[in-house]
Amino acid sequence: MNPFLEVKNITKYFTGEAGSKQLILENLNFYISEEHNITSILAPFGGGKTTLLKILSGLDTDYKGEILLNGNKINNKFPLIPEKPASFPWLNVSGNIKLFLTMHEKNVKPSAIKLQELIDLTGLTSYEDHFPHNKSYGFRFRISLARALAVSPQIILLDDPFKLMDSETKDEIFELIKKVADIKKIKFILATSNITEVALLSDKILLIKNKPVYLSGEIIIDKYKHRLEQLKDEIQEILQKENMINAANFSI
Amino acid sequence: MNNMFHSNRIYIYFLPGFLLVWIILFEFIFPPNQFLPKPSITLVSIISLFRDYQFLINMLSSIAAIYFSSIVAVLFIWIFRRYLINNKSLIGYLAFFLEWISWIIPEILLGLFLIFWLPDSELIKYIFIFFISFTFLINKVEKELKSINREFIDAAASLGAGKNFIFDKVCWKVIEPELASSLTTLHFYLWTMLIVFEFIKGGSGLGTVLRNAILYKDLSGLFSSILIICLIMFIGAYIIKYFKNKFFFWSIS
Repeated sequence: MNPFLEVKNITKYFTGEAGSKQLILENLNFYISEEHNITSILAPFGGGKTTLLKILSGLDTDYKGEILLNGNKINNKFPLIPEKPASFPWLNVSGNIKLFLTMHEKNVKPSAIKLQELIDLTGLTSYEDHFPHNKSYGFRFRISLARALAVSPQIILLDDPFKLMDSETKDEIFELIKKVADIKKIKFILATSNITEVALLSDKILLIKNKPVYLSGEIIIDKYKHRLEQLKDEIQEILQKENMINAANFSI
Repeated sequence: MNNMFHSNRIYIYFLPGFLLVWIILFEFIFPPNQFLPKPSITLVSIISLFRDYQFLINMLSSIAAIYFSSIVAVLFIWIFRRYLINNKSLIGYLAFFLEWISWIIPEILLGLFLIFWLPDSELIKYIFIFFISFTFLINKVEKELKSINREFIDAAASLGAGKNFIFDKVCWKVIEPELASSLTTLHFYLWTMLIVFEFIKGGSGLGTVLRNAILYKDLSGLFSSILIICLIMFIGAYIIKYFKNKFFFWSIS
């Protein structure tokens, strides 16, 4: 089984104002295989999830270790969709997507077919002229996802973007992510503290313990075998074994 | 101050409300006095303003100074926006120098220096207004850029956007509504400063009209000039607000 993405010995320090160094990630190792479309990183609140995703996205380059994609060291960036999806309120749906289509295609006028395809895929059909401000987080997430797809990525990173959505919207977005992963053959990496979200969405779950940060467990999900409750129990069992289960650390 | 001018009610009710109270009190209740003139006399004096004080030319002179100079300042900042915040560029140094002057020398004092150095030049009020507009806006740009939500920048950067792309298409767009809103405040401030400047300097302009009205003890002329100045200020502010709502309608939340 060849790893698609390999994270090797990632170590990250934060330097405080007084020059003091704080260890955030210490020798973190994990991999994602070709068959795992959606991988979740389950870590407690304040467990370095955002830091890890910023490293993977290329936004933070001040770390030690290696990130390999198909065995090769990478310099490119993966789109990151943050907790509050940052769709641009000065552009309408089409404008938001077009901006990055144009950028990605080196200022060539983006093809209307590709734009329409992204709009249709993300469920934004007939909302092309709508502006994202005053719209729900689900709507803004769809725009952010379409925008991420505009740059034809291999991986899309999700930094706890479901936190502010209601359960109905979450279900719709989960289905959308699965559909996009299947159709576009794109991998998603979700970082969250919510056990139900990872159980519902993931093909693979990485449990990460903080202070010090290390990989404390890994669950490969067999969709034909696992049931949601069974999966949640399995996750909680690992968390208990690691003495991590605490209401302040995770949401269920 | 910002909130006060952002309120629609101020624009709609303040001036008519004031006029109504003035008409009731000073036309019908109080006898002629030295405090405020009778509205009917003021109305007549508005006509004589144009004849005795060359009001139209003076008004156009002030309006040209305010709007031409401030629009040049806005355009200058917009065109050179990338370089202004870059302290290593020539324009960046120039911006920093002007800002530095505005920190250590009060603007009105700088105006007095300009009057002293070039007492007969009409150009100095354009320079004066440009200086105030430029330093006000550049300060606002710097302040707003510091408080930009990182998520917008990170989202664009993670999609592969470069530094210039992020500055032009993201950072600048994020601060544009706040900049446009601040133009209303700047507009009122500029009028106040210009009137004071012209009042001291003489020459042409509405400040000079006020000075002459005081000199001739023409209370109704003074009052009607102030009324027209207020009206121009409010119309200007309303137009700025309209443009803000039309072109910079988004809110960052």
